[in-house]
Amino acid sequence: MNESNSTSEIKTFRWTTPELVAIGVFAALIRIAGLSIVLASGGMNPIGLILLGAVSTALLIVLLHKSPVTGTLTLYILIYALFSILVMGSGLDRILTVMLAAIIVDLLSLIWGGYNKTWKIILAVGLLDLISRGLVLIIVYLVSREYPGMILIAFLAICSVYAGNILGLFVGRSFVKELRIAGVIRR
Amino acid sequence: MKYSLDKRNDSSNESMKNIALKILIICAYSIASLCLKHHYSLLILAGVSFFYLIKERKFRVQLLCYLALFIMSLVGIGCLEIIKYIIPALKNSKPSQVIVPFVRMFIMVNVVLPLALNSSLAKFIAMMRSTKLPRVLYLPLTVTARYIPGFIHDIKQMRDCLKLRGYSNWQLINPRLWLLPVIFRSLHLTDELAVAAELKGVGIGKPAVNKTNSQCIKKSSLLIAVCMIFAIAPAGYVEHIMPAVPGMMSIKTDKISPEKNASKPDSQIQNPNESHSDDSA
Repeated sequence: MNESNSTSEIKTFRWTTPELVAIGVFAALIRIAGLSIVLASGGMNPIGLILLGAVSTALLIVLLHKSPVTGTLTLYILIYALFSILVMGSGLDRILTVMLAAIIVDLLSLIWGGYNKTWKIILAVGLLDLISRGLVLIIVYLVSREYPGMILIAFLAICSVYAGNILGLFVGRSFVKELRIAGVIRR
Repeated sequence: MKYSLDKRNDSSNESMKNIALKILIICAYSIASLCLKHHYSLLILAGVSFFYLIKERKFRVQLLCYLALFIMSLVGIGCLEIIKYIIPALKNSKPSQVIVPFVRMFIMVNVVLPLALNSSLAKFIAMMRSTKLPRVLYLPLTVTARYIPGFIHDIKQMRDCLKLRGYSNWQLINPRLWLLPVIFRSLHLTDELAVAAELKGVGIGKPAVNKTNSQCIKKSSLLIAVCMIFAIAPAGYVEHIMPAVPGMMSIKTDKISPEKNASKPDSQIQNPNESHSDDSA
């Protein structure tokens, strides 16, 4: 009974120390895994982009199971962007769209009741990818509308990453199942 | 032997203010590398930061990072050559334009590694706490910065484990073999770090970190930090005096004008200003 009450309440913007540590660890892990995949796959090839999108989405689903607090996505994007700027000296141009998408999804999660169920987490991560890629496409169109070839290549690259994101939703779900069996995730 | 032990103690007992100086250098160089665009000005910063990392005497890690960056830059140039065949407008772009992001990464690796490899977690947490940042920012940032050496250690352990199970080097590229163990290890590391942070007093009130040596600052570190930050000035000057990097506008004019001119007969190719004057006349 107590358990059902604790799962039904929405945790908003109040993180415990383990949850904050999880956000930091996963921000670094997703960045390093992304760099490793880009390095191993040889840059802008479709398979590498699909793998990159799948891994980042799957890890984000695991993170949200570890830290199911509304606002986690926004904080994660902020830490990820700060880490990218401090360590790589890049990423400032992409932060705006993803941050906007994360804020929208966090606000939407208040409507559907937080991240206390797996389907809500998968829906949130799927929406985050969809909104952020859509915003990136709009910006690419606005910036380089004189060059249809550039827009086409950007469109194909974004579609490849988004296909990876959709694949990552299923991979992340299977990861969570494995981690529940192993007892690492207890929800 | 005594000398090496002394050196190790010296690096591990680094004071908070020395860590703060290193973070100041990282911030200054990240902003400078974002603002500067010309490869000559970025190369000045790259040279200065190279000597900054040399001072730490972590030659093996330095060499490995440079090797990874070199491979990435070669891949980037290769991709550009392929894209040039798809988009003819990019044929005028030079390899130096592709190298610029990698020079930026080279600079950041040089300034981040001294901090990541030499500062202890307790001192780092204490220093981040002294910056008065909110807990939701300084704790994940601290963990993120200190995660890199732990991650390298975990990867080495997993590689040795897979080799013992009979996998060859080429099979280790398969993500299925390393992705789930990395997640398991990261989640365990999360629990360990969370317990360590709570034991150090993070999020409870006053920290349980010893601050006895925190107020001392090395004069040499201060001098190096001042020199590093002043080195940005000549790079900015070079950026100011060098001509602008040819960008998309020049590519556009180069691409469009010959095609348009080719479609017209020679008699019709004329200056638009002249035609306007003729019409008005």
